[in-house]
Amino acid sequence: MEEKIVVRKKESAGYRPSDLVKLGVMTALVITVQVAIVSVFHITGVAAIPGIMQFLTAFVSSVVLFIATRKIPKAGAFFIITMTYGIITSIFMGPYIGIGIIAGGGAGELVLKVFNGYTSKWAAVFALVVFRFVFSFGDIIQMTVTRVTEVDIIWYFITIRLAGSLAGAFAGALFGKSLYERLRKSGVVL
Amino acid sequence: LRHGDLLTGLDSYSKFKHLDPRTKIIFLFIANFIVLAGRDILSLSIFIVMAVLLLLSEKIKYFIAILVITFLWWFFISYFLGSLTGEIVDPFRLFIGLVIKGTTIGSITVWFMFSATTYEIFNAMDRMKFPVSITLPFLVTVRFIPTMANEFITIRDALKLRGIYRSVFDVFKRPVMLFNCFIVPMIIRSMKMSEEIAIAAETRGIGASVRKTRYYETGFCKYDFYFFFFWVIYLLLTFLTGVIYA
Repeated sequence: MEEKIVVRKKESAGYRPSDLVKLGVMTALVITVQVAIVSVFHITGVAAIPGIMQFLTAFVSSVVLFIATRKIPKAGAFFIITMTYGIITSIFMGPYIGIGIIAGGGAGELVLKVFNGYTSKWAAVFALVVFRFVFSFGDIIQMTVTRVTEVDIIWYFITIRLAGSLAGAFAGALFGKSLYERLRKSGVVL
Repeated sequence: LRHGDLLTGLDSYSKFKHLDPRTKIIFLFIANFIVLAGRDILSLSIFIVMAVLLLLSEKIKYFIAILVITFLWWFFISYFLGSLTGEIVDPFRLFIGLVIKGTTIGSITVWFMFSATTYEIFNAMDRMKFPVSITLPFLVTVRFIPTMANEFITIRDALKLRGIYRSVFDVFKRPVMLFNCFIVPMIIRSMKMSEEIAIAAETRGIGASVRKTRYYETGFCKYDFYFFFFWVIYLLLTFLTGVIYA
């Protein structure tokens, strides 16, 4: 009996491969929903309106990330998701945004750790806003250094992008919080 | 025997199949970095390299498609936003940034997607001593992005059948409803899927503590050295041309 308890404690302290698989699937969801939104808004031309894209991508990614941190409430889960997301983004979109995502993930994980965010929902909301804030800086650095478009580096566009991102992260985290409650009541998550 | 392509699931065709995946990843990082942070002449040079690589890979149609899309975006931004804000002073710079750099980055992604398999990437990361807590989620993520995309298409078709979603412009007519109809089922589906996959993986012994062996062996070979050699010479020549030109 004693031996069994020891084994269980050992397992819960670290990550089982099944946890890592779950984190991988949630990361895939984060990326897919953002790509879907970006595609739709580019096709329709709405992406040209400053701040809209940032708001929406921050919103959906925060919803998914909030649910993910509830589903796998282990220290480091948030950082693993953002690390994976950051590496994939680095490969396909360049290093600046990728580093921004990883740094944001680190900052978010720190907030979760300090404020006990894997159990406290408001701390998780705060962590998501912090993550998006740092992530947005990576985005801004990329467009300033690379000058991919002249439009993006106009100062008030940068401010709008940043504000859109933060508002989206906050609203998304709140929506994720209420959605999680709904899912829990309906028995989808335990 | 080779695994399927990264995103298409088709058999690997690639003329670059002899290259070690680490070579492809290193090329990807360097090329992306140069395009994003390098001088215009270097971006232009890699734009040409990517056109040649996609031509050799018989994927030139993707290059052309990305070129057309970025060109249309450049046109739209230059004339629409330019007249709106009055602050786009240099359409030529915008052209370099959006069309040349944008097409190059998109083409690098396409080339990598069609020339490397998920198994190869996993193998490469494993050999580069990445921790399992990163490689396993990475592998699952890369493997599941197309599955998620298919789920999206399935949900979209179901919504079309019910008359809820007819065209992409319905996003503006019923945004909240569409958000609920698309995203919430996606989240629930992914959570269920992640449970099922995790159970399947555990059953197949993913957590076994024994040392895992590789079914496909990878390693650097002469092609990798040729590739790097030509790549370095090309970059050097471009850089020198740029210096002389400047």
